[in-house]
Amino acid sequence: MRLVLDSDVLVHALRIPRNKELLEIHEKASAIFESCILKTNDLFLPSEIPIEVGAVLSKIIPQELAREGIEKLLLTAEEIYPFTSDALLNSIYSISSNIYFREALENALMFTKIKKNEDDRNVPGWKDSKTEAMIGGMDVLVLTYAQLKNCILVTNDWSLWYVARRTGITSYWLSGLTDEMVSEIADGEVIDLAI
Amino acid sequence: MQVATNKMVRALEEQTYMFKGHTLKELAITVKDYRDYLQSTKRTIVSDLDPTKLLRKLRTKGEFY
Repeated sequence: MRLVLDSDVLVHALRIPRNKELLEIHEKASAIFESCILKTNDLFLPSEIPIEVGAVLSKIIPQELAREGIEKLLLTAEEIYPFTSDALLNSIYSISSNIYFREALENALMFTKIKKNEDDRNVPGWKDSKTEAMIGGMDVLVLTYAQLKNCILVTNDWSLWYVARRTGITSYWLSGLTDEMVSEIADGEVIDLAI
Repeated sequence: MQVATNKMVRALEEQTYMFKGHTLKELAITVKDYRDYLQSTKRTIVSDLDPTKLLRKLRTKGEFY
């Protein structure tokens, strides 16, 4: 499968937490990340993601280790858009980045604040207290990239996940996945979440 | 016109040089490399903030001075 792993999933995958409450989510993220190393799944990233992962990772582990973590990430990714290891694709992508920009701009206007649909009350993580889901500009870039690349988005951010699925992007919310589901994803299987 | 062409050629040469230097490497990573790296992070956590919460805060609120 072609996966876009959101920055939070990657940070979860790139360090072992001290806090035991974060261990379960780390293990899920790590299993999916390993499947990308093994090429069972292909990791696709927009260039904004490694920047953001670097910014966060360097706050939670020493800088030199954070650098090493980012190197592991860069080596694992199939593509860090608009940069690839293929010189020809690099040229093409410099043109397609214009499409990416326009699409992202449209998504920013359309989807950064959406009303939650009451019919979705049975989705994992649903909270009655909030009637709207809001995302920011960075989320829009991630969502748009997954959309244009026809990738599956994996995030642990409920708002981004909800907005992404409402816009028709196949996306998984990491906290809402069982260990079995994570294993299936790590095995390259698309899981059918009928929600 | 001649100047523009020379500029273009130089730009292309630079691009080719950059591609060779930075992207056309034989790269590889193994699960063992990753797990070794992960183990090295185990006792070095500076801050145990939840990355999802931290990123949500940075993406939508950030800090205002």
